[in-house]
Amino acid sequence: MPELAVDVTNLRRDFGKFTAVNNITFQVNRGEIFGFLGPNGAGKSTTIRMLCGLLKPSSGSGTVAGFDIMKESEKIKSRIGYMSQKFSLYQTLTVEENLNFYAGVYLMDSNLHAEKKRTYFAETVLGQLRDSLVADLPAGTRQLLALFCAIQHEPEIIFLDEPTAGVDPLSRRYFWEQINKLSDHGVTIFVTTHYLDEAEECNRIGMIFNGTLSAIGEPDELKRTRFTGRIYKFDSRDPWESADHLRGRADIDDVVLFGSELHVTLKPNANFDKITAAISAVDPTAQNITAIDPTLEDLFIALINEGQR
Amino acid sequence: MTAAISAQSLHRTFGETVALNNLTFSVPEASILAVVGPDGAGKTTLLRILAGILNADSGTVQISGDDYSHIFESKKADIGYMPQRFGLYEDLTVQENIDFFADLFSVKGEQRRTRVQRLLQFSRMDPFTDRLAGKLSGGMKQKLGLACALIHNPKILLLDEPTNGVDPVSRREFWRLLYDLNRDGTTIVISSSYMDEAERASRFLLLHKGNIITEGEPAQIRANFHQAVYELTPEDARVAKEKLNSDSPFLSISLFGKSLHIAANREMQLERVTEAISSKGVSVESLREIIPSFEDIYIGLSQEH
Amino acid sequence: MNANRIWAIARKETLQILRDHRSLILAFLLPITLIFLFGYAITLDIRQIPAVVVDYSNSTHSRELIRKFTNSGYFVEIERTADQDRATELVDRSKAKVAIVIPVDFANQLTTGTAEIQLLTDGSDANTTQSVVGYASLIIAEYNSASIARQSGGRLSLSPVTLETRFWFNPDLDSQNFLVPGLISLIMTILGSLLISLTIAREWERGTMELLISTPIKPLELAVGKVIPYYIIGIVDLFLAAYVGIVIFEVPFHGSLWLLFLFSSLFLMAVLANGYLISVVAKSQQLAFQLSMLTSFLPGFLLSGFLFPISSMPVPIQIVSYVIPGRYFIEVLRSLFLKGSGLELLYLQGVALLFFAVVFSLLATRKFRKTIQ
Repeated sequence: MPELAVDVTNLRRDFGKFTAVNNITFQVNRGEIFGFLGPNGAGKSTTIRMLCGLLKPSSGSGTVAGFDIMKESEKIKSRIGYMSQKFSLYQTLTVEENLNFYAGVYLMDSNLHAEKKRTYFAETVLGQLRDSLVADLPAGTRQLLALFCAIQHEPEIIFLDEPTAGVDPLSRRYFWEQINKLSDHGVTIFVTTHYLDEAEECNRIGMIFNGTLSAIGEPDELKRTRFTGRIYKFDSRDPWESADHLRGRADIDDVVLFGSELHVTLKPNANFDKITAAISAVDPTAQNITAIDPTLEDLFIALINEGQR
Repeated sequence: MTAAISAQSLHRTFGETVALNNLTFSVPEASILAVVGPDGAGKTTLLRILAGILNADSGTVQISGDDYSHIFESKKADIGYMPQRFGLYEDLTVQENIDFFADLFSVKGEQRRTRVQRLLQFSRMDPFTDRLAGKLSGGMKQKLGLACALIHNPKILLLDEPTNGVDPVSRREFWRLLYDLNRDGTTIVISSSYMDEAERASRFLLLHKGNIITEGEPAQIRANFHQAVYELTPEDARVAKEKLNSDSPFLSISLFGKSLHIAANREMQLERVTEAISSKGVSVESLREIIPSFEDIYIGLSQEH
Repeated sequence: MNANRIWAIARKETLQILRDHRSLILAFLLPITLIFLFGYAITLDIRQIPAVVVDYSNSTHSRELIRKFTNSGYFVEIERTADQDRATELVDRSKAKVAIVIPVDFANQLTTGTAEIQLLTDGSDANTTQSVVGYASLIIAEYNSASIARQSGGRLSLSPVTLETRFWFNPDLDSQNFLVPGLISLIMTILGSLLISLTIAREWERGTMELLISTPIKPLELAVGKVIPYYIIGIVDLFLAAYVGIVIFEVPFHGSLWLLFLFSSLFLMAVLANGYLISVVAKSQQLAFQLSMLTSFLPGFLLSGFLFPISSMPVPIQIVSYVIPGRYFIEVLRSLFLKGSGLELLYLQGVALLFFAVVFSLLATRKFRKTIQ
């Protein structure tokens, strides 16, 4: 098995005049959880589809699981698992029938499949639901089943396109535990998500904006190296008033309300004392002005704003 | 002050399943209530009943003090509703969709012109009036949905998971719009599966299998939460979690990125917590007590039920 | 009822129809296609029937009769033979549809007034057989009167009593005259029920209904607003089809355009209300499509008297045909086109159509719930 699960150079895809993915180059190591982030329509799904061999790149080169993405898409398909944004499960089949169907498609060994099913049913709620129709399952459970359908044939790489959208926090935690287990067993995970707290669990992340890869690296490293502003938070009695006043200032990048709390992002060259003075001036009730660490969401938004300038 | 919404013993079953189990709660005027809960907790059922498109088996809803059930239709003009699924016409343009809802709510004349203009600006949709709704991005669709739900200036806005599948930038912008509305006195009920959104609201209602687990203002809920939460950032969080999980004296251990959140009874002193952790061979160097986040509260309370 | 809301729905629906190519094709291309298809390709008239002639008489009289047959345009002589077995064989092998056999003493028999000829046809092709017999008797009748006049040398003005068949209202027995009015009914049935049956189901399927029912719209307003654009399409199609029928296929129109408009409106109401009812009940486009085919299109095609005369159906099916609005409308249309009947003869059909329109509308608005089930 190659050391690089994904290795692509200048991958590009045009749809008519529109360039969905614009010459991106990156690598994903084997066994790593790679988070692929970006706003809606930035090119995440297009990239995933190209890597899975479902969509032919307009240009570029590279390998997935060691196979050429331009020429060996069928070989790639047999080595990977893919869980698409839109549901790939059959609503009118039961949980077990869906698992059986995908086992059939991937020509799984029947003993191995029986063992997989035993594990899944023993460890998860799916055990009590094996004869339920997929249509009757709650969204979180469906996503779990979709995940199992994508991984039961033991692919080397799995591609998950927004696997947890609309899934409640507890189901999401369970889902990520499963993903971590797979990664421990050497499976490479390529995942997209809009929940940036999930992205913190990834070994490395890539951020794509308007079809261009803007940042790639470990989450902490990116926050350190790419986030140039500073963030302060404080409590306010009248957060709206304060926000309105602070938003106008040239040394402030962004003001975000969290209930009665305000998060203020300073521009890199801003003077902290001037700002605290300003805050006290507009909002005498402001309390506990403290510095906070930027989250991936803060970084994400900062990079987008950077791109727009 | 009369409550914007007040629900008494709302009950609804679907066949054998109890979707809502005698819910009683009220939403003060000009507040933002976040309804949070796992799938199947009853969030959508609750919002649909409040929107008047689903009947409760029993119980009453009062809107601004008036019994909803008797003046069902006339109250609809007070309510703006945004369903979980995109409810607008994808084959109509942005402008046509807005016009349609303006007509439906009989918004006319000068009032209509200014309001449409204001909503387009407010949602920053004005450059896209001629675009088909189906061609909008997820975040823009949600903003258009919000604009259409606001065309009749409702006093109450019901939003069913409006930020699902919406990227963080659009989500932030969406919330900014909600704050602006709330500031003008609109009462907002929003269901969500993002816990950080619950933190942005002024009130919080946690649903679990049709029951209210907790409800109130965030500070109040934090104060009533009887678990202490500790954060630990070990070398390898998952290995540490495995070690701590065996024969654990703790209520829960959850992974938050590279850290662990360890929930314990308040009665358990820091000393004993430290002891319990080091006895499992995990370094306590980074251990500190933290203010529980809503995700911690959510995990703690839903595990009790 | 609030006119604003009705207008909102009607306008929205119109925009959606204009943007949906499938609907547009169905609404305007289908009627034209159907009317040309039925007008040209599927004609019930049988012309140029291949005939084999066995003329044992071989007299001037027999030759004249044969000429009458071939000159009529209905028959084409494909072979003349003196062998009746050969003729039978040709009919058996379907080379000829009919064998005309004229006996040896045909000329003599003519003078005594008891002349007989024999027609052999393939009875398994009932339609053709019927036409052959029909055309043949017309030709023979004409021949009879001509020969009697000649025999009397023009002096005898009084001809012997002969059978004279006259086809009222459709003197040339042109099947287009008969088909086109029925076709108009069929087209309006297809469009009315099919297009509208999808609209409510589509709103449920796409999730737009959930938002719509959260507004103060009233069920009747929704129904009226949705029906208006389809009513307009139906009326446009009516005049389109009528125009093509009258101008291109030269179907006579003797009635009043106002009556045509009035009865078409009544019929459209019934059909649209039926389609709307289906739409309310179905909740999925697929089911709505199947239901509308089953409840309106098929009966409208088979049991309305469009192609198959109701009087020749078994009694139970005749009874069923009374609940099919198309039945009444086709009667009305044929009367208007071919007879030019007035309201005094058609009011009963009018009452029947009105009845269906009202019943279906009531059912549909009552059935529609502004809640999610």
